[in-house]
Amino acid sequence: MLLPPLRYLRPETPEDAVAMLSDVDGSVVLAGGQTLMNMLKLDLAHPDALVDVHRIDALRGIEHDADGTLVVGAATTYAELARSPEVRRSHPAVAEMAAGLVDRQVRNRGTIGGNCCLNDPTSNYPPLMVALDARFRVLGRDGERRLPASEFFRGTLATAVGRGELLTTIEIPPMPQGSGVAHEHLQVGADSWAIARAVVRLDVADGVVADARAVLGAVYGSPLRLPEVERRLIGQRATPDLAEAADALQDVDVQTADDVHCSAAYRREMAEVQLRRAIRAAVERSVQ
Amino acid sequence: MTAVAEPEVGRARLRKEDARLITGRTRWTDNLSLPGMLHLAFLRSPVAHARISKIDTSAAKQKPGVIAVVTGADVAEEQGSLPCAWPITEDIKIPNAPSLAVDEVNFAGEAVAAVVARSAAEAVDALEAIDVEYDELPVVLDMNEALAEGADLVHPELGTNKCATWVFDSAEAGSGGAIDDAIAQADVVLERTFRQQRLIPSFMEPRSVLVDPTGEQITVWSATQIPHILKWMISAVTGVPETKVRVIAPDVGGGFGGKLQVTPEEIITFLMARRLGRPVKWTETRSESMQSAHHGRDQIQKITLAAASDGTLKGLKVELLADMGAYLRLVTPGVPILGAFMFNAIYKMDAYRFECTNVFTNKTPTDAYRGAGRPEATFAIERMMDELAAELGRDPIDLRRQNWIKHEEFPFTTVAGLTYDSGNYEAATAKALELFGYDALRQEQRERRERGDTVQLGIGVSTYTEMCGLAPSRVLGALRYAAGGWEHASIRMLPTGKVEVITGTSPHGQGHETAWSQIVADRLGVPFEDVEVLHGDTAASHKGMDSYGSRSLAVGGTALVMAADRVIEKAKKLAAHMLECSEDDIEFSGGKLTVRGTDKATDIQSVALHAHVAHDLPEGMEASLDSEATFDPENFSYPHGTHLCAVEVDTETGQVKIRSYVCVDDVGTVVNPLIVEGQVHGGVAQGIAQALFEDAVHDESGTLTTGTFADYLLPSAADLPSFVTDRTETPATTNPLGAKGVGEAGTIAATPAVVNAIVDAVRHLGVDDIEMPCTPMRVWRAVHSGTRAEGGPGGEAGGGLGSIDASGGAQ
Repeated sequence: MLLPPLRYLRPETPEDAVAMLSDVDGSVVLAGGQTLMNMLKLDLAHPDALVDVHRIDALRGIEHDADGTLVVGAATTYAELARSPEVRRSHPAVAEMAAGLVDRQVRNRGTIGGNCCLNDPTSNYPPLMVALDARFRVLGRDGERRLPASEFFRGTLATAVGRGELLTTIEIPPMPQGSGVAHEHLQVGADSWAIARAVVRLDVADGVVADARAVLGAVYGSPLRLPEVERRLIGQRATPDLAEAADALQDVDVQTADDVHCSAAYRREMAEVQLRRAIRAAVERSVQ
Repeated sequence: MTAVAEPEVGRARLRKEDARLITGRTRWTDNLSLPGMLHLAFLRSPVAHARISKIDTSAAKQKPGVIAVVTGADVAEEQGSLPCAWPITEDIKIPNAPSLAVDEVNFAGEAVAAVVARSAAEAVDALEAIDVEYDELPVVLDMNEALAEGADLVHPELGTNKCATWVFDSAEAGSGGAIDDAIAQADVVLERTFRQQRLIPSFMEPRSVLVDPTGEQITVWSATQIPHILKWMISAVTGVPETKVRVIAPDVGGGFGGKLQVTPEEIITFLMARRLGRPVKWTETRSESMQSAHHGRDQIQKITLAAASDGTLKGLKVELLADMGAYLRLVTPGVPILGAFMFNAIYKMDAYRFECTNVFTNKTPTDAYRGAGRPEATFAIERMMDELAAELGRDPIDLRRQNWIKHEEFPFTTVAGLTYDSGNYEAATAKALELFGYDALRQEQRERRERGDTVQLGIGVSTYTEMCGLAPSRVLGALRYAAGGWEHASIRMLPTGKVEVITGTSPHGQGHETAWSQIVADRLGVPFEDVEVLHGDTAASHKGMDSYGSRSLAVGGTALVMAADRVIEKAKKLAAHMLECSEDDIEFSGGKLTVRGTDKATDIQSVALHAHVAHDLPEGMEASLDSEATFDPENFSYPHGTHLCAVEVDTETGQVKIRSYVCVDDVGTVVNPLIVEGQVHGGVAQGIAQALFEDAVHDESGTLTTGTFADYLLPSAADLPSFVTDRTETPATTNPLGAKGVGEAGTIAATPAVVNAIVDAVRHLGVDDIEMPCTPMRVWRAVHSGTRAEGGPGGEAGGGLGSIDASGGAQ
C-alpha cells in the first residue's frame, strides 16, 4: 500500500528529461501528479523512477505566435490557463474548461499536458483538443515530432507519446472569425467523473457553417470524432435547428461502459443529449 | 467587573477553538508521538464470508522493523467480544464479535491479523507477507433473501439471520387505537416501500489510536466521540480493571456517529501495547475507514398510511428491515429503534404500529450515523404526506397543517407515547413559506408544466421533529439500553479568579469550548476569556456520557448551569461572612455580590480567592467554591422545523439542481447563533448528500465498490445552493437553558425535502417515487418510464469508465 522505493529525478531541461526517460528503465513522467500519485497509492502503477518535469520552465507558459496560434507548455496548470486574460480572449473554450475543472487544489496542480497524455475517457481536454485542431509537439532522442490531435490520441489511455518521449507543447490554431465552440457535459456531482461529454466547433461565415467539428468524450477510444454529424452541419445555416444533426449519432457504435453511477446505455443516451446541446450552444456563440 | 456586560448567551461569537483546529496545529491523535512508539497495521479480509483455513505469519515476522505479528488465534484469550450495549429484546441474537477474526470472516474489511513495527511503513509492508487462505462461504447480502426459508447463514451458530424483532403497538401501549381498525375504517390507504441506502459517515479525521502502557494507568488516546464509555468498555472487554485505564479524546475531527464506537482497532492496539510494554499507534487510511469503520442507515421501509377522505390521518403502519451488517457493534440494533417513536412525527393520528426486523448480512456493521433512526422515520412520513396530498389533490402544506399538533395543544402526548413539551409548527412554517416565496414558485411550476419545459421545477417540503438530548436514563433503561443518559459538569474557581470548566461531553467539532464558556461567563458574571473548558480526558473529566444524539447542550449544558448555581450558593454564603451580613441579604448579579440596599459589595473572584486561602471561613464551610452537578433529563427535547426546497429537474438528463433551500428551525434557546448556523449548514448538506449522492454499494461478492471518494460521492460547495436559514425560538420547558439540540436537525429534514421536490417536479409525468440517491440516471429512468425507478447498475458494475483514474474527477 505504501510506495515501494523508487527513484525521483528532476531534470532541468526537456532534453535532460528525454534522456532520463530513455535511459532509466521503468521511468515515467510526473507532471501535476493528479492521476499518477493516485495510481501509485492504489498500487495500479509500478514505475521504477519518476521524472518530475513540472518545474521545467520550457514546459510552462502561455504564448501566442504571430498568426495567433496559442502555444501552451505541456506542464501549464489548469489554474494558469483559467486566469490568463490572453487565453480567455483568443481561445475562451480552453480557459473555461480549465476554470470548471474539479476544485482549486486540482486546478493548481493538474496540467493540460498530463490530462492529454493520460487520455482517460473521462479526461476533459482531449475532445476539445480534437475539436480545435490542436497540434502536439513531442520530443524524443531523435528530435521533435509534431502531431495533429487526430494522430496524437490513439485510444483509451493511449497516445502517440512513445517510450523515451515527452510532450512539450500544445499548439492551438487561431479561432476562425465567427466560430463558436461549446462544451457540454454531465456529471453526478461537481467532483465526479463525466457521464457524457460533447464538444462542438462551428466556423460560421455569412450565417452558414463553413466547417465543423463534433467530438464525444467519456467513451472508449476517446475522443470520438463524428464525421457524419459534421457532414450534416457543414453548409447549413447556423440556426438552433442544426441540433438535429445529432440524430446521426444513432448510427454510430458508441463504445462505453457501466459504472457504479450509471449504465452504458444511459451514457449513450446522454452523449446524444450533450451533443445536441453543444450544437445549439455553438450556434449561439458563433452568431454573437 | 461592575459594568453589566452584554449577555454572552445569544452572542454569535467566533469559536475560540477554531484557529488550532483549522490549522491542524493541535493534538489530533495522529499528531502525537511518544518515545519508543511502535506502529500497528491491520491485514483485512478481501472476501466477505470465508473460513480461514490457514494463516502463516512467519515470513512477515522476518520483515524489516517488525516487532510482532498476531492473528485472532494469538489474542483469542484476551480479546473478548466487542460490546453491544443495546440488546433491544430479550431473545436478541448476538454473535460473538472478536476484534481479530479467529476462524471465520464475515465482512470484507474485517481485520484478520495485525503487525507491529518500528515504523508505519514497515508495518504496512509486512502485511503483504502474511499468507492467509480463505475457504469462501456463501455470501448473504440482501435482507429479504437473508430472511427466506433455507437462506445461507451469516452466523450458522445462531441458526438464523434474524437478529431481533422489535414492536411498538399503540393499542398495546395504550397510547392509541389498533392499526388494523384504523386501516379498515380509512377512506384512503397508501402503501409505499422506501430504501434508506447504506451510508458511510465520512468524518474528516480518520480514526487513530495511541496506547501508552508505560505508566500505572494505561493511557489510550483515541479519535473517539466517547472517551468515558470507551474507558468502561475497554475494561469490560479486556478484563483490565477500569482503574488502570485512562482514555483521552484529544481534539477529534468530526464523528457524525461514526466515532460513537468501541472499535476492534482500539482493542487490538490496547492489547498489543500492553503485551509489548511500549507505546503503539494505529492510524487508518481513508480506504480502510470506508471499508471497515461502521456504516449508517440501510433499511427497507414498508409504510402504510391510512387517512379519511378529508385528509385527516387515521393510522400509520411501519414495517422495517434493518441491515445490521455482520456484527452488532455498540448500539447497532438500537439505531432503528431510535426512529420507532418518530414516524408519527408532528402529526396526530389514532393508531400506530412499528415493527422492525434486524437482519444480519455479510457487510460492514452498521451503527449510529447523524440522526440515527430519526432521519429514516422523518423521510418515510414526510414522503408519505406528499403522496397523500397528491392522492387527495391537496396542497402538501395544507395537508400537514390540518394534521399537525397545534401550538396551543402542547404539552402533547403522541400516539407513540412521547410527550412533546413545546413547539410551534405554525410559526416555523409561516416563516419558511415567506422566505421561500412559495406562491411565486408554484406559479412558475405551473407555467413550466404548461410550456412543457425541458427543465421542470419541483417544490419539496419537510417538517420534522426529533427526540434528542439523549436521554432520560429511565427511558433508556426501559428500552434495554445498557447505560444512562445523564451528564456531568464541574467548575473549578481558581485563586486568580479564572474558571476551569470540566464537562463530561466530548466535543469533536461542535464548539463546546466556546458555547460552554458563554454559559458560564453569563451565569458567574466572569469574562468569557477567563473560562477554560476541559474535556475528553477521563483523568480530568472523570464522569460523563459523551457527545451524540444532539445531547451535549440540552443535557451537559444543563449540568453546567446547575454546577454554576452551586458555585453561586457557596459564594453567597462566604460573601455574607466577608461582608458581615445575613446570607439572605446577599444579592448576586453580573459577578457581583452586594448587600441588599447598601453599596457594600464584593465580586466572585475575590470570594474565590478568599475561599482558596481559607484564612477566614464561616463555620462548616469547605475551602473551595468548586462545585459539580449531574443532570438527568426528565424528557427528551424536541426540536422542530420546516424545510423547503426548490429543485430544477432536467428531464432530458435527469440531473437535479437545487435552486433554493430555506429552513426555519426551532432548536429552543440559542447559546451561539453562529454555531447553530454552522450545524444547520453542515446538517442540511449531509441530508442533501443522502438524497442525491451518497451510496455505499457492494458487488455481488460483498466487496465495497464505492471504496474511495471518487465513487462514494460527497457534495462540495459547488453542488449546493446558498442556504437560507432562520429560526423560531420556542424554549424547551424541560431544561433551564430552554435548549433543544441542533446537531442532527438539518440532516433529518433535508433528505425528504429534496426527494419530495424531485418527485414533485416530475409527478405530472407519472412519477410517484425515485429511489435514493436520486442520481441523474435514476431520475431520467423515472421520467422516461413514468414510474418509480429502482436500483442502479450498482453492484456488478465495478470499474468502468474512469475507474482507472481514481483521482476523483476528470483532470
